[in-house]
Amino acid sequence: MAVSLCTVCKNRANHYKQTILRNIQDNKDDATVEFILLDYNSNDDLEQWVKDNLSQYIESGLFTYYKTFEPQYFQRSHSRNMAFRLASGNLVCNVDADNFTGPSFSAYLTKAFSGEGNLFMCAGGQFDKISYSDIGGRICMRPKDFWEIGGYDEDMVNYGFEDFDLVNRLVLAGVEKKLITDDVFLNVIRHDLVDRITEEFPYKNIKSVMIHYIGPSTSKMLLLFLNGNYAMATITKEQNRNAADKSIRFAEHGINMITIDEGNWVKGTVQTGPPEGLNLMSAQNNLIYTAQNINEDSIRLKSDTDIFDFHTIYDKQSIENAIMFYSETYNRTKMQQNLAQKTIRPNLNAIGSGTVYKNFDYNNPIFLQ
Amino acid sequence: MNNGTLNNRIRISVFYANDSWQQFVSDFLRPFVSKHTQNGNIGAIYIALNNDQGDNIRFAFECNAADKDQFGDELHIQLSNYLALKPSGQPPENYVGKDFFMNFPNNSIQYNLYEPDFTNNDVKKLSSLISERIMKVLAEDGYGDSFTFTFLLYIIMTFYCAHETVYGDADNLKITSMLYGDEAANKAPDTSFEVYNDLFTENEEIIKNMYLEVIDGQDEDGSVTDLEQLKAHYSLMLTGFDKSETVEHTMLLSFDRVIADQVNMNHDLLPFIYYVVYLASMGSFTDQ
Repeated sequence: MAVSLCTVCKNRANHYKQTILRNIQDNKDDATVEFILLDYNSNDDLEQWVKDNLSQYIESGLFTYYKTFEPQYFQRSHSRNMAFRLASGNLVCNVDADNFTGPSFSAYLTKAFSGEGNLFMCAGGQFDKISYSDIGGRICMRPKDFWEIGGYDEDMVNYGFEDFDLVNRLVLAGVEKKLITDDVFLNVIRHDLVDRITEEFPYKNIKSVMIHYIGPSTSKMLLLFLNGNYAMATITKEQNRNAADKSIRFAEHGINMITIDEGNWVKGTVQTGPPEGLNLMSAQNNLIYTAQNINEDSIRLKSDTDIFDFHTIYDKQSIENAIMFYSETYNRTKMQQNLAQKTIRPNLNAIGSGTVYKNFDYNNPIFLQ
Repeated sequence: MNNGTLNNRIRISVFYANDSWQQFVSDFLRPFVSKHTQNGNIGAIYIALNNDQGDNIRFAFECNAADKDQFGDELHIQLSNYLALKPSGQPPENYVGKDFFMNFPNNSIQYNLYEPDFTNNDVKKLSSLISERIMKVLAEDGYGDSFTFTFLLYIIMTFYCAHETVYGDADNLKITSMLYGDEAANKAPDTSFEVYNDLFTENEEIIKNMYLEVIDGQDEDGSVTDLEQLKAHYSLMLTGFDKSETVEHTMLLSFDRVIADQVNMNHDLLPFIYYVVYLASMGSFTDQ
């Protein structure tokens, strides 16, 4: 059984350089394994480093380098779908750039999948693991199972939950889930949280993050983007909601989660125009709020019924947290919708589409329609 | 009076300006814990210094009282009376945008804002030990800029010595190599170590004194320091984790989940802490 270990990279050469050579060494006992790297339009030194260090493996067929020049931003779902389309193995497995496979990982997969039963394997959701936040992407399955559920949900364009969603839908489709629990397969490079979102649209296009306090448990958050779009949500810190109520002091657990009262972020555009100079329009181009600058740090949003003063956040960490929260909650909501509606195949169109080039041959594009 | 899903933990946050924490701990918290620990009403405790959404002291405990609701009601009344009688001054206003949510009212009592790790018996014991130490240091020395710094160093030195006693030099070097090499290197650029080095130099005397205090094994009042307790605890704790877990892993869990959490440590300080441990392990104090 041939195993395809697939990695996507957009400007994560610093991690990939540390993992790939060891991963190749650790899996050399499996003659059928192949390593696929999809360079998702990186502009760091990934390509040159691959040329300098992995040519021998390219020549032997063990390693294949693909590059696409189309994406402006990193999209986890689309990039992984694309990489899996390029894989030739009987098993496909996503290995994030910061993941070490561990010794004989492909042989371990081959053995696990050689028995009867239709299963997939994943590492996510093991919150007792010290590296739990970095191993969620490790999902291995037969290609037919992956394509039958339509791959990763490409509507989940931001960071987070796309792997949980894939797992949910595989289970919904009747594929048995088996956890990869052995720590030897779950080593990672630990790194800052912000690394996960720096190549994505929200991070690269944020203009400002603004907040309106309602109470200790509830605020309104407004994200303004450089392209004129905005996203707004009323957020509630669930464990704060009933914190003053001593009658529930023995509650089993606080709910450590921030929820969005509207269900998901409300999106629209900011347009110039009367009466105040700026207007927040809905996605259907209806006027939602007029906006008036109070001072250089604050704006006042007014509708027929409400007035909200929003203040700009300047703290870098808080801005990054806000973007991370935006990314994760958008994807989390989509995951919850898929689960609630028992949606097995959310992508209605072709997935992983685009143009790629194989092993630096830029004269012969490969069109993935 | 409850929601029907009772357990025996009460988790309180007392929002109180940090310049009055010493008073609160001396006048209320320490006597309360002492009294009800002795009479068996409370078991493991967790005390943490926190400024999330306002200065607050987190106080959680296992309630073993026969009538838990009544005990909780009485505590709430006692706390409310204390806050009414001795309200702390208003802390500096949290500027808008520092947090996504506004502060809780100062001098207020809130419940269930956090979940201390009471599932692992050994971590629970460590939490209680650190909590008692926090109360002692706070009650006697007060809370100031140097509290976190000195307290952390004390705990780390103590922990380090306990580990050295149990495992000896070889493992120590392995631990510090891991802490210094992998963890700190990932979290701090090289230039940061110059800053930490300066910090260490500036505070060398106090660090050495704490180290010697731990080495000597006695507090100023002549009582046995936490070292003996920690040694016993440390051995216990190692058995509480899966055999496959490394000692290093255990150390990290302790630092990250227990100590740092309880003293409201800014995680930017972690590389500095590792640096201190590293220096200690390299024998910087052996000539003392």
